[in-house]
Amino acid sequence: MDGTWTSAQVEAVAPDAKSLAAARKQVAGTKWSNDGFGGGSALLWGECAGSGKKPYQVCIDLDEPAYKCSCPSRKFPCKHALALLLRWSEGSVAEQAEAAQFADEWRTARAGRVAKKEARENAPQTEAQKAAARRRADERAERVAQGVADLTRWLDDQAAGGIAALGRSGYRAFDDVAARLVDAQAPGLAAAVRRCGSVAASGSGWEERLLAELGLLRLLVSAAGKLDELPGPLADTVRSRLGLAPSSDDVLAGTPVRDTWEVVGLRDTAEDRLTARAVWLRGRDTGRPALVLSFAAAGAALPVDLVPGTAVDADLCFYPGALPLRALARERHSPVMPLAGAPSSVMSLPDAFDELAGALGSDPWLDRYPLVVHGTLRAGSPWRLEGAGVSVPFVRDVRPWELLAAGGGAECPVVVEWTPQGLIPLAVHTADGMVTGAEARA
Amino acid sequence: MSTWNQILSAALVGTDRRPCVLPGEDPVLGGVLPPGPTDAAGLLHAAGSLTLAGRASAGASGTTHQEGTEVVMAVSGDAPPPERDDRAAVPRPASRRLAGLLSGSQSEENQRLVVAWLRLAEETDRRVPYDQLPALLDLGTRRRDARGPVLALGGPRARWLAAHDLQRWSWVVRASGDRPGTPSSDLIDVSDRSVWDDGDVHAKVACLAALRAQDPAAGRALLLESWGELRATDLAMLVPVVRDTLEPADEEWLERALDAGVRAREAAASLLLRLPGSGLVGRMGDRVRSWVSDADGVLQVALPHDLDADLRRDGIVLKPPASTRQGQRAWWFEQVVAAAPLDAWTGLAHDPAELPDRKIVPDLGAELCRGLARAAAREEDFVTAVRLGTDPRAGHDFLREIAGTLDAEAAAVVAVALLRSGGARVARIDLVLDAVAAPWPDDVSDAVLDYLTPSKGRRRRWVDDVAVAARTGLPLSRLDRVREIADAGTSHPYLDELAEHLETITAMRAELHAEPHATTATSTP
Repeated sequence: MDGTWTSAQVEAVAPDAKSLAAARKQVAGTKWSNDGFGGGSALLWGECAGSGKKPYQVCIDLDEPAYKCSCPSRKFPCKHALALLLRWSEGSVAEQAEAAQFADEWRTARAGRVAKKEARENAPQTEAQKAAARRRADERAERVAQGVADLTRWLDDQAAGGIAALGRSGYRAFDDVAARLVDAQAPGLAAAVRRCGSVAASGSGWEERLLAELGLLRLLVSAAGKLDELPGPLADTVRSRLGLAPSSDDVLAGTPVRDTWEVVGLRDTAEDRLTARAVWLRGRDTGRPALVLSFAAAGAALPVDLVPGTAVDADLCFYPGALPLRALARERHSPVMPLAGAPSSVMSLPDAFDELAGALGSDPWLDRYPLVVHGTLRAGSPWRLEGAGVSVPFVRDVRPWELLAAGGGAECPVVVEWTPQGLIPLAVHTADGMVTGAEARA
Repeated sequence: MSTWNQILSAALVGTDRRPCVLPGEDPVLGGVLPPGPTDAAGLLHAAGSLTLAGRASAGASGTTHQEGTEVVMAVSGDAPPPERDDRAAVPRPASRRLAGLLSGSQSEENQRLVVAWLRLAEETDRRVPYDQLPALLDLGTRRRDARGPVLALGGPRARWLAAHDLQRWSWVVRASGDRPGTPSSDLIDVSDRSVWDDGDVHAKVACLAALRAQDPAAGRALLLESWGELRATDLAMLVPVVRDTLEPADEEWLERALDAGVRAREAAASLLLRLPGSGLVGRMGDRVRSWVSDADGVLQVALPHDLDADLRRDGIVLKPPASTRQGQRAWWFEQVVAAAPLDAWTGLAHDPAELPDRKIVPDLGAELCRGLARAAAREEDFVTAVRLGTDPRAGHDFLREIAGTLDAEAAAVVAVALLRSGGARVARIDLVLDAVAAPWPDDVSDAVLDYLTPSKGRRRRWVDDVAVAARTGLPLSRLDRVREIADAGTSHPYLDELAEHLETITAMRAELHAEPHATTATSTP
């Protein structure tokens, strides 16, 4: 199979549904000329007739992917690029030995920019630079330790003075603490404290939920205070929860895990001005779950190389920790392959929760985990997932009507993300194929 | 008190004021934290440990104490699964097209395309992809013309899904009237009295609709049995349910409903008007005869000064809608004319349609037009209704209301008449065309194409409106003719857009009739 994208991949790259709808109107063959793909690399190009005299010139680097179009649209990729991808995915674009001139020029210019950037990044470090890097790392460790001590004091003060007051003080009390932790270069702790702030404002029953979060946070700072005494993997988990994850270069230098990774689910979440995309994988042979995170400015395109309903034979490098979950793809040994049906290992609900209990034993601060289970969706208050005599609630206000309709009250493979607040539905697999829920599309 | 609750109550007021004592025998904390009095740090450690234990055991025991994520062992009761539907889903490209249309903008143009898609899909022996059903049911809430196709293409699964939220998709229960032969009473088990006795008003509405569809008399009996316990607000929602199953025997209880609250009265009055020869219609006729007299060809109207109790009881509303700038008494007149039978006018005119041509004192010409048009529509004299409805005095948008009452055949007759004769001078013919069943019969298509052929003396906006209606109504076989007209003269955007639209629909049809995708084929067991 060649590397042609599926239409689902094209849909995933669209910045919004409107762009996609607009692109569908541009697909007609009469609008396109001078198009092709290949030309010696993973390049796709074409000219699309617009309202003006000069057609819009579209170039796409399929590896990255990167897009260029001469139209004035601020959407990225624009409808012309999407339309070209759609045409290519349905086989309407022919492979060419040579790229069109405008595409070739763009490719050359881009290659120049990439080479310069790499040269900058790969320049060998001098002794002075290395010493400075060490000094910076030491300074940071010192500040983080101070931040941890500061937060420990604050947490104990709340428990001594009574957390009832936190429900009245609003976000302010939490935001001040979080700001100090940002200064202390412990962004993970800062985010955890801000989360506590939203829990305190989450309405009826907030006291219990807040105490739960504060308790787990207290366990975390206790562990952070004696990092040297912890087993290595647990120490790594604690460091990453503090916000001290290793650089991606260090992660990619680790030992890879090769498997046929099935992409079981995807969920986008908006964070400030960023969109975070979580792609959940499970290894066909190892059975391991993996999480590949990516980020993009709001409205910009997120990577689409991992699309639910496909699988890829690849090396994944995991971030170190007691429960290695987050990973980076290092090398692919196959193109993307569509899954013929449901993911290969579907568990019963009780078995899935056994696995989850083990995961929580390794990483007590785990707050999301992928489960692929045999289950039946039930509407109600809250909605629930049932199977093997067990019934688990979805998070409040989640009503996956499309998935309920697709499942039709029968048991089928369901992909969910577990969170402490309840399950989040991602997809169901039926005889008609895979259906992804609205929650998975952000 | 559980360990968690002890810790929580200490945490709420603070360990400074309420010391926290950890129990010795707690299955989670035993061995982790020493029993006995502890400080703030100990309290938080205990809280964290219990939370973790709760999360970890969630799937096994079903006994967590917090966070609302408890797992219960019992499996909840729910609607029984839907009947099997042996049809295969539409081919992939068609289902992608539908998904794109439904997730795109909800513009009128887009909605029309979806309706066109549904009609084409009905020609195949396939069903819609199930995951599109929520969006399609919502479309049915907004558009009556989508309802029949959605239920047919969705099959048992659509009705099963709608039963999960009868408030949002209540039309599904009532839809049996919209489309004979589509059973929807299977959503509700009418033999189960508890649905009626214990359910809220929405459940009662669904129950009554289902029962009436099977046996109108049984529905009536059920209503009368509980009459004393129903609130006026309930009645206001229950009365409209019987609209499509109305029969003369309903008059008695509808008359009683006139004495209930204002909203129930309005609902009951509007139904009584639909019962030919009902007492209410008769009383309105008497009013027309006593209020209007002929003085040498001039219509003299003597309006009452007050809205007395009898008028109110018969559903006459005191104040005109805020959008009209009518006086109150003129508004009463309009309502009475609309509610009276046309034959109440026989003493004054041979053909009631000619009445608006006469001088009327005081000047109630607009009210007379609208009232007579409504009365004519109710009596299914559609030609008269539309003729009066297109009278400029009736107001610009009034034809929309009249067009809404037309049945498909009447609409076709009226549309051809309007297009062929006074077409050049009448606005909003498209409203009548929308009531003609698509694809249009030949005579309507011919008349529309002639109307769309560029010529002088037609208002651009009116022609544009008709061209938009033609997008959904014109048979695809007329595409070539549209192109001919478009290519004949100077460029007319409305013709190009119409041609483009018909091309899209042609493409949709090809997608729907394509060979099924490999995976869809294997899905049929």
